[in-house]
Amino acid sequence: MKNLVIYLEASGSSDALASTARADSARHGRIPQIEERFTPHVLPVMQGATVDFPNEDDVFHNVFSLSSAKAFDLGRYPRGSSKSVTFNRTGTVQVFCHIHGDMSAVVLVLPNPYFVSPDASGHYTLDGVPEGDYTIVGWHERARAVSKRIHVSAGHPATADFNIPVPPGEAAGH
Amino acid sequence: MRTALDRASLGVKLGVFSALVTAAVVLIALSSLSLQVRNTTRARFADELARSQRSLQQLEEGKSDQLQLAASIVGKAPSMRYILETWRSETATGTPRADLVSMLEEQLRDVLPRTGGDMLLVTDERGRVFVSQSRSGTGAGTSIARGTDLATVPAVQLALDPSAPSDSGHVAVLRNGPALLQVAVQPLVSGGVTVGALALGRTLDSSYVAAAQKRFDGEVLLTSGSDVVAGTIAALDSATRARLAARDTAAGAPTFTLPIGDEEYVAAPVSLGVTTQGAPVQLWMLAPLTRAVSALTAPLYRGFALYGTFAVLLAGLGAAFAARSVLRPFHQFVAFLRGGAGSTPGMPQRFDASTAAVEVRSLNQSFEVLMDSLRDRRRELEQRTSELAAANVVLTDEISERTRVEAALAESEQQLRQSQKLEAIGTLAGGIAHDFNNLITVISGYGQLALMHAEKGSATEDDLKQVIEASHRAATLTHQLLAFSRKQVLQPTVLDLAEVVDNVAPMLQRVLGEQVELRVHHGESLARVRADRGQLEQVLLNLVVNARDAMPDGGSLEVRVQNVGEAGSDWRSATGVQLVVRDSGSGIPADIRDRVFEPFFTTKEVGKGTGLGLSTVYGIVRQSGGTIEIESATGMGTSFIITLPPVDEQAVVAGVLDDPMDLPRGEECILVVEDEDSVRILARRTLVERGYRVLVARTAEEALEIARGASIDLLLSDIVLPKLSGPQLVERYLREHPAPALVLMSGYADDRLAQYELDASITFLRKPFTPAMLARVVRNSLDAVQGSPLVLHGE
Repeated sequence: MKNLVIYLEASGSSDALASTARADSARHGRIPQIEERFTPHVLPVMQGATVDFPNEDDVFHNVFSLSSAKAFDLGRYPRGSSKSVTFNRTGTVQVFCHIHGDMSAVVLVLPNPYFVSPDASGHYTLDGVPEGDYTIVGWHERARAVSKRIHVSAGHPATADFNIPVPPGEAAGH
Repeated sequence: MRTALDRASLGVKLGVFSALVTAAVVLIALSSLSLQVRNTTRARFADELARSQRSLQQLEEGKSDQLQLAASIVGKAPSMRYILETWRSETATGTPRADLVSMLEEQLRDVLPRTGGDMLLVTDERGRVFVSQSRSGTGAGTSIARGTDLATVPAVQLALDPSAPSDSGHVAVLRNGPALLQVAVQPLVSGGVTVGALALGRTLDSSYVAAAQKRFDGEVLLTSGSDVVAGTIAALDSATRARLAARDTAAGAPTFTLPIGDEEYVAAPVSLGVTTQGAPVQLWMLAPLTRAVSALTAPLYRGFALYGTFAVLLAGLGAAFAARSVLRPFHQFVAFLRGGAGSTPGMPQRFDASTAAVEVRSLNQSFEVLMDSLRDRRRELEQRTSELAAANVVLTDEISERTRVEAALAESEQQLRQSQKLEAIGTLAGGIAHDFNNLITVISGYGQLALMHAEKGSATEDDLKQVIEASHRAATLTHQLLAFSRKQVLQPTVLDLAEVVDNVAPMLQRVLGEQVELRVHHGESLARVRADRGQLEQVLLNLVVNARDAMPDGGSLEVRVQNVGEAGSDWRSATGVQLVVRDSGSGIPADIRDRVFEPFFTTKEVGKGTGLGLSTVYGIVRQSGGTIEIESATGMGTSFIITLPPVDEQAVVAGVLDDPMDLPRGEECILVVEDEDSVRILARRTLVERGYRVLVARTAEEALEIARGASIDLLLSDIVLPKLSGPQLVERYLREHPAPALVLMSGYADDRLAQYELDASITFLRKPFTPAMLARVVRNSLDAVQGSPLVLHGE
């Protein structure tokens, strides 16, 4: 499901999760500007990841953020150009375009690579999660984040169902 | 005052009246005009206000649109949403960012002056004030505290949730302390999601009111509920405010009249919205009606006062002048009337109104008609008076005529009474005379029979002669009585009175003696009369004897016969024949003149007269259809005037002369019919002694019976018989037998007998009769019947 992110938080030290192999794929992200929209709108990344903001429109864009996790202003740049931002602090980064007020994106900077977006039917799967107790969070930018305690043991898939109240226009998911 | 006005002249009255009427008209016109001005002004104001209301409404709408637009533009600014979005996402993670608030405040402060608004605020997605900014010095008050919940404001609700109900659009009115703000609210949307609301407000205060007043020529009030927020009118009492608050202020609400203090306004509201507390906020436009009307009417009043006074004066003067000019001919007419009005001589008879007004002409015409009518009446009255005078004369004449007629009538009545008296006496005398006659006939008859047998020269003969003489005198008396009572039977013939007089004149002279001269006069062509000659001679004799007695010392007697009628009239034209016997004697006193015809009335010495002479005259004249009058005066002589009716012939029957005394004889058969035994016996004896065959009967029936068995030569019958009368007997007899000689006898002529007029051929024998008379009559009748048959005339 779009704009919906499910991620894990370690209840103890986060190093164990961050050091896993799957972290590589989460260390890089890309949010191009296509037809005056940031695509995708929500992009979860791992702490320290670099996200590219390529301009693929015919017009200039000016990508910036006021969020405390990462405040930046990439300045105006034309089609074909791309600028990158590295997000070292966890948190929600609201990304806007100075030129086009309707354009917005959210870069969700997470401490570990265990995050996923549910599919169109609302199902998600997080695999490779080490054995242990975790907090699993359902996040949506218009809804309050929903947290659940979950215990993962080897060879036994754990299930967490979410019912996230999403404002009209957004889909709910499991 | 009233009486003074009553006494005032017509001109003054008319003037005052016209002035009053004009003043009333002016006042009415003025008040109606001012009312009309008032109404027109009100209507004009209402129109104007309605227009102003609309335009102000539009202006307000434009302003709020503008505000809206400004808010929308401001709301479109991305940075505001970036900040809000960022703030929201970070609030969710529990780290408030004061730098974002101040960043937004900074932005609002920058933007606000450019919006034209006085206040700008941003709420979060739940309607709580996130940041607000006010422009200092605009009366918008201080910034609204962060966190103030505006979620109840409908416009905010609508902005945050488009599906929320709101009837005031995106405009609302906010109270911020004493300040009143009209705000336009716009949603802040980010990525299709409403993240908050932006409200741009402008202060509704005195400067707003002032601005509104610039667009409207009148007073402006801004109210919130019953509170006056601002206005160009100083103070409003609570009642007026309540009234304003109670008005229906829906869009296009009608104007109405609102009194404030001494002024009256036409009011029209413009709705600005509803406050959070639900109070409607109105902008009132007040058009000062009183002021406008007085501004319009003041010159009107001045004009009316000026021209009205002028008109009143003019009307009064004009009416007075018109009255004068109208009344002048009337005055002239009145002067004409006072001057004699066509009735006084020397004054004009007619008022010349030819040049006067039609009313005066009409009045004059009426007056002339009246005067003409008066003249006519006067003439009529005079005519009536003269007619009355004439009628009075006629009436006086009539009265005197009537008096005369009445006197004549009284005289006639007196005469009538006298004649009635004579009639009554006559009836009495007649009755007595009839009975006496029979007695005397018997006495005389038997006396004469006895005389025939008496020895000549004996004392018996003398005695019998005395008896017979006395009976003769008695017979004369009864005869006279019968004559007076007109019950004797007349044998009238047509006579020439002159011839009768001439015949007896010598005898009359002898009666008068030598001392009295008799003069006889008779006129020419005298009319004849129908009367009994013997009776007439008796009348003359009686009158002559009476005259002689009135002239004991001698004198003259005139007997005159003349026609009655016009002078010189002959027998044909005469209305009567007069026999006048006039003496020169002592005359008859007036007091006894009426009584001289009464029987036995006499002025002569006892034994000198019978008192029957004039009675006999009266009876004969009356029975002959004549009249007798007396003209006499004491010492001047007396005239007896006898008037007899004329007959239409001239024939005269010659007088019958008596035969010599020798009694005739005969041998014929005589039937005597007499119911009185003594008379029947006397008649039978007398006739038998004369040689006749005599048959006797007591009644007519008896006589007819006897006649059937005998041949009768003479029928001697009494006229009055029981049952059938003498004439009836004659009639019956003649039916059965050839006509004999007829002699009827009677001493009494009653009414039945008067029906008959005896034919000349029937001899009448008056009772009492003497044997000589009887013998002579019988013989004459027998001799006369030799040739001519007898005819009885009668019914």
